[in-house]
Amino acid sequence: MKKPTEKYSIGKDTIEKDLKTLFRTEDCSLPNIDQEVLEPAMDLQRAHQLFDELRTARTGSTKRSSEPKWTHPSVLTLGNVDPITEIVSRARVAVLRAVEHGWNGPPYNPFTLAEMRGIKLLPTEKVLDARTHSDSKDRFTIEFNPQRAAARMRYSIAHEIGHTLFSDCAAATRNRATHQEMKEDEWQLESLCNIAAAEILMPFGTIQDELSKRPGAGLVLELRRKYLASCEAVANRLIRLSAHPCFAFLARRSEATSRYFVEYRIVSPALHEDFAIQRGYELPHSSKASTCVAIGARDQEDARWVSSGKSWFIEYLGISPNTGEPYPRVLGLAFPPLPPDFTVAESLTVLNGDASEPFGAEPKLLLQVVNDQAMVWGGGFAKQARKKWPHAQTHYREWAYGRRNLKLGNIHSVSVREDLTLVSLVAQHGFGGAGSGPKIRYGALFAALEKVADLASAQRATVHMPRIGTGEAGGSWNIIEGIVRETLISRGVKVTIYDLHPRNDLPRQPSLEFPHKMADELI
Amino acid sequence: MAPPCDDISDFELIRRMADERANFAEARDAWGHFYVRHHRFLLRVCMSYHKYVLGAEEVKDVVHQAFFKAFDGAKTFNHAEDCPIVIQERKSRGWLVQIAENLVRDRFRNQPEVSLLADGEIDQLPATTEGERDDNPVPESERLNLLKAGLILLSDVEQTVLRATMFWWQGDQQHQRMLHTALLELSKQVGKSPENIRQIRARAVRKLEKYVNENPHDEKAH
Repeated sequence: MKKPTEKYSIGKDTIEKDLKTLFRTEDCSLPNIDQEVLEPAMDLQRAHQLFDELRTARTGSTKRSSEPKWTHPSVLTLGNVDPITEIVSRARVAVLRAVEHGWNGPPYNPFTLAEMRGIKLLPTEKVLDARTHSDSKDRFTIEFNPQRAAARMRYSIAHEIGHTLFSDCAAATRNRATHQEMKEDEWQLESLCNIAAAEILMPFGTIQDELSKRPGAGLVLELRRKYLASCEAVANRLIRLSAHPCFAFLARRSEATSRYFVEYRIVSPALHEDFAIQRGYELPHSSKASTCVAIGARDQEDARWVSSGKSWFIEYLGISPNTGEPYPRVLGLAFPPLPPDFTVAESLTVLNGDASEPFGAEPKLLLQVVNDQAMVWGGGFAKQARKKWPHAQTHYREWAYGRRNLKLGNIHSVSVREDLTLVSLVAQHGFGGAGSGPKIRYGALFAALEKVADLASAQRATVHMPRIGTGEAGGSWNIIEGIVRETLISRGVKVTIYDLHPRNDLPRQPSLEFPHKMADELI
Repeated sequence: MAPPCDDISDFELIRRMADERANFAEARDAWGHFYVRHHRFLLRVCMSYHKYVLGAEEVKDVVHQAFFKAFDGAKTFNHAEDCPIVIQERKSRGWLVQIAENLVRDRFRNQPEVSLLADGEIDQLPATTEGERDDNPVPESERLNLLKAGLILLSDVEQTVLRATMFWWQGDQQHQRMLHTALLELSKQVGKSPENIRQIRARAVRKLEKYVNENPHDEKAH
């Protein structure tokens, strides 16, 4: 009888491949499984019942809402995702990259951002507001009208940068289509670029101080002046982070029906009530939105059509129309009825104390920022953590072994106490050395904190941290707090910040010099 | 009228599911039979692979979803192939396991992974990605029989480690990796450190390699 070894050696790779096949088809005995965890034998009737249940559940989760479909070709290039989420994400990436390279504010200058992105800016009175076109090498030029008001110019430039976030932008000259020129679904693209403009003009770190105030029309106008941004940009940022239960919607008048329909809506993280207004929703004829026929015009009403049985308070504010449209768009700010003793719960608390001894009996996640190169925690809070919890450092080294996991945006978690998990966020590029600019990578921090939000939600844990990213990483607390609010607090996670001593000198993003000052001279 | 499903082959059931648009009632019925026929198998496989990291309830959910995905994906399955009933069963089950595997991987997508290779193994990785040739002259069925025999000789821990880690094994990868959380859970389950698990896995594969190369591959010998 011949033996394989005599002629053919079966190697490790084949063994592993065959093992995979063997386990996959289970042509071998399975280990013992507790009978109680196995479901009882299924009969056909129950199987059919299960089929119907699964089908119903699937239909429920993917049920087509009455929201109109996105049809614009440029919007469809975003892929099989929610276009609003995707465009916000793309704008955010652009903003965070720019901030890492020294773009600072507020106010954040969209002219500078355009230049940083290699976009040429050309003032010309030939255009109404602004337009984008590209040359044969797909380099973009934004032509803008310098005669417009400064805030309008800033908004137009930010809007045009929004256009460049679409992959097909170079394929055609993008005009801010006039009302007459606008195709039926052109508003979809324009609306998404407005959302992108809001992300650009009001990036992280703005309006932190105002979040506990009630986000009414008055506050929107006040912040618009303060930050030189549009009402739409202010409302986008304000409502997304507000501690008040409310939502905002942007409505524009349909020429065909003379009624206002909702372009999009933004819901505050504190609002948990259901309501009827969604994209494409037509406001009733009786709605006072129709009285806001001038920019800056305001009105208000108690509306029973927002959700059944309850009267919501709505404030309306006329804001600038899409270029060439005769009627202003209307920003609606809707507030549900609240109990008289309602108070805003502040989800971000700042305490004086040692972050390594966080307060509270609930499960807690303690965050620290680590760099993408060192496997040993050698500085700042991490050094303190290494000394306090040596096993956490060992665990981290095991995880970081080979540095494959030390990718920016990854997180590592290890339990250091029954109720406390230490979470390391890989959000710093390199370590040591001075003068090479901040080492914090805001995009990575954002990605890592999104994972922390998942972890905190799953464990029902609160999050505790020192002022992460502001030590050796050189980040700006203002921006980092903005990211914390956007990723954690907007998802309902409670966050506590610890200062060893009271701080009045919070680090800010250092400014870098740019060669072109044209942008600043223009406005 | 279509014949009852009890005696119908797996491929025919899948064909009926694929034909959902033409006859939904028949497709639903075929799914029911397919489910009754294979769900205990898939549940056992998934429990043995994933219970330690997902928990029993989530594994059951994966199994249900896998069957439902099979209904949706029936059109993509090559049910027209002419092969014996036993092979049909093996292929159908392989397909189901693959669907479940994809579902589990989806649940852990973008989560950190760690190396499955022990220290010594990393050094021995060939410089190129060219692996072994697939044209091993020993027929696959014989190799599988040898492996089955070899597996029985391994300790319980070795078998558990192999089974759990092979789920993450990918044929096109030279440097095999697995989910960090899964490795930690496995580590807890068998009471060994992650590095020990890597060593146990390497040792188990070496034992199997030795076994299949030192034992006759003639099927008559078994």
